[in-house]
Amino acid sequence: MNALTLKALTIDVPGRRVVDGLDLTVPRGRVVALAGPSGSGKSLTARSVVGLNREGVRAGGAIMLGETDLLTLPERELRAVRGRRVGYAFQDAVASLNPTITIGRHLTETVRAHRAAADGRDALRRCGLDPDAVWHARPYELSGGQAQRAALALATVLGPDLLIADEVTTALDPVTQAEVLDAVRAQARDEDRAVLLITHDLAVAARWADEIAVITEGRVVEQGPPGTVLGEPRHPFTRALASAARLEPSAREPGERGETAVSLRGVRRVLGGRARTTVALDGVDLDVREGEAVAVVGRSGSGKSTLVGVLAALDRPQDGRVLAGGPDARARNARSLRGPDVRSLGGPDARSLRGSDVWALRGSDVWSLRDRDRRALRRRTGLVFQDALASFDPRHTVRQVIAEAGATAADVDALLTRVGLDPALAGRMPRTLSGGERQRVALARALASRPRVLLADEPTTGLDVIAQERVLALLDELRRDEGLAIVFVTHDLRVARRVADRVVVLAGGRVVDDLPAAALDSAALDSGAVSPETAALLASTPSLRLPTS
Amino acid sequence: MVLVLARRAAAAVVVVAALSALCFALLDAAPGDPAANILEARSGGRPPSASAVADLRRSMGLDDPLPVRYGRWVGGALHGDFGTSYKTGRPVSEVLADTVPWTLLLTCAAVLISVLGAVAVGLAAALTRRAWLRRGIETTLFVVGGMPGFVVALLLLWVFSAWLGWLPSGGVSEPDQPVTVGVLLPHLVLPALALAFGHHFGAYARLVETGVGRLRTAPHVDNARSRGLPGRVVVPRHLLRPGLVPFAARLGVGVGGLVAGAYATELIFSWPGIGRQAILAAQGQDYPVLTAIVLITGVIVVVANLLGDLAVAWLDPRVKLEPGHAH
Repeated sequence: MNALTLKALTIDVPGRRVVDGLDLTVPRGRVVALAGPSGSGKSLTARSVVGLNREGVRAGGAIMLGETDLLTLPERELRAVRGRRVGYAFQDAVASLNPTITIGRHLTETVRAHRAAADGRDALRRCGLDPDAVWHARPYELSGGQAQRAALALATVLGPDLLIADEVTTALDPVTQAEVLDAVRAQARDEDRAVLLITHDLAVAARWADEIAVITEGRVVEQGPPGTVLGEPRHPFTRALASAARLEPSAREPGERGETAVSLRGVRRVLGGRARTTVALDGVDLDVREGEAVAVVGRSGSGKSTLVGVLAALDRPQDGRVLAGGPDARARNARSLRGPDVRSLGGPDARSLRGSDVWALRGSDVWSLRDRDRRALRRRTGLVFQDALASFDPRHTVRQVIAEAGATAADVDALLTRVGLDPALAGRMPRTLSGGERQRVALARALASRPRVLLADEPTTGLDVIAQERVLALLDELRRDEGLAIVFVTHDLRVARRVADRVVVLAGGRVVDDLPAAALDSAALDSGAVSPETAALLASTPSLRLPTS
Repeated sequence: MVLVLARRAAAAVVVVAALSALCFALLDAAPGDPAANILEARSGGRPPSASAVADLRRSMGLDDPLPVRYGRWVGGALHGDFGTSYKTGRPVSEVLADTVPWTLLLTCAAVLISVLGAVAVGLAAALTRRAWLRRGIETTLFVVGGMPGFVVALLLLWVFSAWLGWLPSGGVSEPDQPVTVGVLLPHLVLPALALAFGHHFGAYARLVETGVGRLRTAPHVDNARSRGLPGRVVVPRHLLRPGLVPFAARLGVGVGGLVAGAYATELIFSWPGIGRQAILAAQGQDYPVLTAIVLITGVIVVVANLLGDLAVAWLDPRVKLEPGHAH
């Protein structure tokens, strides 16, 4: 029996039709993935089922939950359906829980609102949490994985017929993602629940869904079992999506390797205050050469982001040394200054040196330098973050964002063109851009100070596969054409393989593996040539090669 | 938590001690001679002779060096003895006992009105779908917020006392009548309203409006709705409680301003609190009374700040009252 049937669903936002005649069925006991890029209408569709749409959003057609059309229900009856017959789990679990009350309170208020007799502790247990450990905790005290499990327990505490999981694992590392989605699927089978899995990641859909519905421009263009949809895609869009999702390291020419751009020696960084301390980095050695892309992968909390802070000379390690480039740099730097790279974009090159001869500083310990010299070195490092928008001043236009990093007006246009954006965007506010566009603006800003090292912390995590592929291709070009050293932090091994020559695996603040990217495949897993931590990441990373089971 | 509170209390004691020393020194440096003033007042305005002034100064201990006099004053203050009024000869502690409760009553009533009013108005503006209502509230707040406190007071007096005649214009009771609750309440209404609406009310309501309005589309509110919670749970627990944090943080500081505003309000409404007393004391160079009042005001402000911090910590448990973050 179908738990959910969408018939000719239309959704209008003011001035635009986003979903246009969407048909979809979700049978009980099965996981149906609604997969598509950002802006395809998948989240609006999901939100319409529970009537969560913002003011001005109109839905038409029919949303049948069993025999009831939810679109015709009055608000009062719809409220009885929400939570009780339809559970909804959100993308950012921590943000989707009220920070001022405990997990237990969330569960009991839900049960009480429906005058039901469900057991919140049992719901937590079924989602793989220890009720005693999390009942009195507040959302921000949980890890990302725990919070997402708690959110799932909250969505399913009343045993709903339908669970809508809206990008629930986008922010999780692959091991946690696998655990959470395994639990969702097992529950669907055990409790005969229909699950609508909203995702932009076809590999996730392929691994955990029984059926995939591909959505683009507000319509489902293809629906069927993963094997059929991905194995013999009929629609051109499905083919495009599948190829972007495959993340193939497409015939990359290795760029010219320069000398070492930055090195770490025995770096140890302890975070925390008097009460509690965490060893975020524990004796890390790392060398990154110019023209080389190094991916840093690991689970949440493995020290990846701390490593970025240390490499950027922003975060001072308690122990160990951060070395600025190799000792033999002087001879080479004369040549690289003439090279065809972002420096040719205009503006006096000497400006970025501003009194400090950064080349003379090479090979020295960053933290033994004068503040002024260290700042000069920082200008040779570009930084890109996961949430590009949050890294911009909300009142600045794109032009101001880039100009602030030291670019002239002519530079701004050239930089925007360099990252594949129309210079006409310079007058826009970043919040009006798409996620992929924002991330390129962030890249343009990072390039404005003519860096030799680019540090990118999960820059494509919030992007859909198509936008992600464009950003990754751009990074590839920058590395190859301009000899940038790139350190790319990600929790996604597929992205790491796609973007990097070398993959460094962090676990508990230590480097447990440092391998060529090509060596990271299932063969490595079988041969036992990698550490257990790397093996766990490999095993839980979904791939588009179909599961044999 | 207890430890944190103890630390904060200790910090408050230091603040009050510093305040008393500063106040003592400043009044000492002020021009004029209290002894001469007292003699002039006693003799009905005739300038006193230099020898009489010198005698009185000696007997009052005014010739001792400043630190000695301050030490003597602290010694007394610790036992509840703030000296005697230069003007009336009454013990200052008696003067305080007569005036402080009135000011506390007025200020507490004003804080209550301010908080309830700001939450009600801010919530209405944040949640309404009627654009005209939101705009109307914002315009009114803008106008009221731009008015000085004494203008609000005079406006209220004019409308409710002079024009409509609904409420008395000042004092705490009718002349020669005992103070009873039934008589006091109508007398309290106008000064309390004037104090509440004349001091930062617009800013408070806007803080509630933006704090709550920003959360209307927050994921945790969507989540609460997606679980079928009724509005009577969603609004107070998921919108109001986290949304009130900026307001509560501001309120603790704002109570200081409210106490300062009470001085003028008490004068306008003939309210027998410390504000009126302080102005009389300042005019008459009645330093013992003035010092004690400044000190009491400081204590009220410090306690209000502490209560504000506690309210923020209760509303949002993420805020830890760590010693390092104490203000």
